[in-house]
Amino acid sequence: MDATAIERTLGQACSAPVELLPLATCAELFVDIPSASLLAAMEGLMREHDLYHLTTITALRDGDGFLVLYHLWLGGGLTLRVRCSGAPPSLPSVCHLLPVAEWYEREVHDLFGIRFEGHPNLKPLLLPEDWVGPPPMLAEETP
Amino acid sequence: MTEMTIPIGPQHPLLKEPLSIELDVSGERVVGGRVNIGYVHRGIERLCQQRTYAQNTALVERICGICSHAHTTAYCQAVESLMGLAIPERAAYIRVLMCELERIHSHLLWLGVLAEAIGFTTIFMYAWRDREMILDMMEELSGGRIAHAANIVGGVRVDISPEQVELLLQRLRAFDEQMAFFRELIDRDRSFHRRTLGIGRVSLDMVHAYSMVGPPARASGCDVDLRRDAPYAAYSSLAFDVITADGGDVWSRAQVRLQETIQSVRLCQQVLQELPEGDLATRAPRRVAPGEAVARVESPRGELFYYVRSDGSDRPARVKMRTPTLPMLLALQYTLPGLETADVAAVIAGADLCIACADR
Repeated sequence: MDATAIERTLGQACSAPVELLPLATCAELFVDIPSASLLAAMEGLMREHDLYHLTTITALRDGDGFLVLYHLWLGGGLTLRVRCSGAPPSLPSVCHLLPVAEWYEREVHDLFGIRFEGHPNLKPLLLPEDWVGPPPMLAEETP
Repeated sequence: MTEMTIPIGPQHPLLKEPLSIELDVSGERVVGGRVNIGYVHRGIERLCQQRTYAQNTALVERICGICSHAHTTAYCQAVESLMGLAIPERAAYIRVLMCELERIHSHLLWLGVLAEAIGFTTIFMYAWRDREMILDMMEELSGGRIAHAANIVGGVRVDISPEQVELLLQRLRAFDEQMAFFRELIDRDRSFHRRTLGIGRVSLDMVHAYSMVGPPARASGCDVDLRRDAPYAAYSSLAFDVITADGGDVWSRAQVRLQETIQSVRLCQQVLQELPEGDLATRAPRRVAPGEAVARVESPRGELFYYVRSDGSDRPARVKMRTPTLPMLLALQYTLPGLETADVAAVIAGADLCIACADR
């Protein structure tokens, strides 16, 4: 994994310089990407760095909004960190680029209520189809 | 010909765990299929946020009844990274020993399940009989057959005496001889070939599209193994070969898994022969400074991923796990069309699914 080349690719995709930040704790690189540049960043990584492995998508609460982490493997771990807000919060779907995201995005939608625009079939994956109530990871108290 | 839909599951004799597969068939040919999960979702990611770092070790161990040690290894590694803890060398070796014993018993369990699905009951019995030898070893080492509780944050809880080392080495030699029988079977047996050769072929493109991992990816020619590519615990000081095949069918998967079992025996023998002296664990703090960490472990079914985030308290702010079965299930959905209905059982069994892992 060539960090400088990846920075260049992601910089072009975001039309602004980006910096790969090594985690202090382990050998993984993190990089902040604006949500509008997410698809361009993924396309760039697939075109120039042979990206095909999306390990998973993690969502977590961050103040009023969410952080969504796209964990990738390019011979080394790389995570794209995207901030997401709005009501309902939404992000562009990456399914058409990385088909495996189909289920990962459904899971994040189930548990956090984040919508993925352009997803072919955003129905519940883990929750029952007739689930009512807030997304389980956002509920204040567990029953 | 008229199409009809056959529901398999959530409760079905073919399945060991609840999973729903809707199979569209036209005559004897499968023309489509949909896989549904969520029947054993327990909300473990949320539960992890309500327990302390130490308590979570016991919780994540209960995600899976087969690769429980892989889960605790990945979780402990992520938390140790957050804490900046280096585990003692002896602990790293014992972790590898348990990981490899687990891989052997998981692969033999799979062989038994596959054999049963293709009507080869004798092999099912033999594979599960020999798997008991490994489960006995794990029980003697840790006290548990399934939940071993061998890992703790900072190291391991179980030790191995010099007498146990000798005994385990003897039994591993005996086990290795047993494995020769299965190797011969996969290479030579014609009825096994007829049910597995060329069945459920998965191309390398499909492996890439669905980010497949582990033995199914390696059986389609994808040369990845985190034990070699991103070594953890003591793997960087041990010798083993990464097994790949290029058929992508059920037979290639059987070949990869059996050869891997032999490599695992080799790894166990090295650990026992080279086991360093020293402590079993480093003392772990109760609170963790804010930060985030990632751990990737090669579990029996492939890459197991953990992400842990700390907010400075004694409980994690977020624990995320991605188990290898999740992408495998999605890939399975797209492998079904084109199969003969009689081969569906072999293909589902050949995928080595762990639904409890996928649902969490």
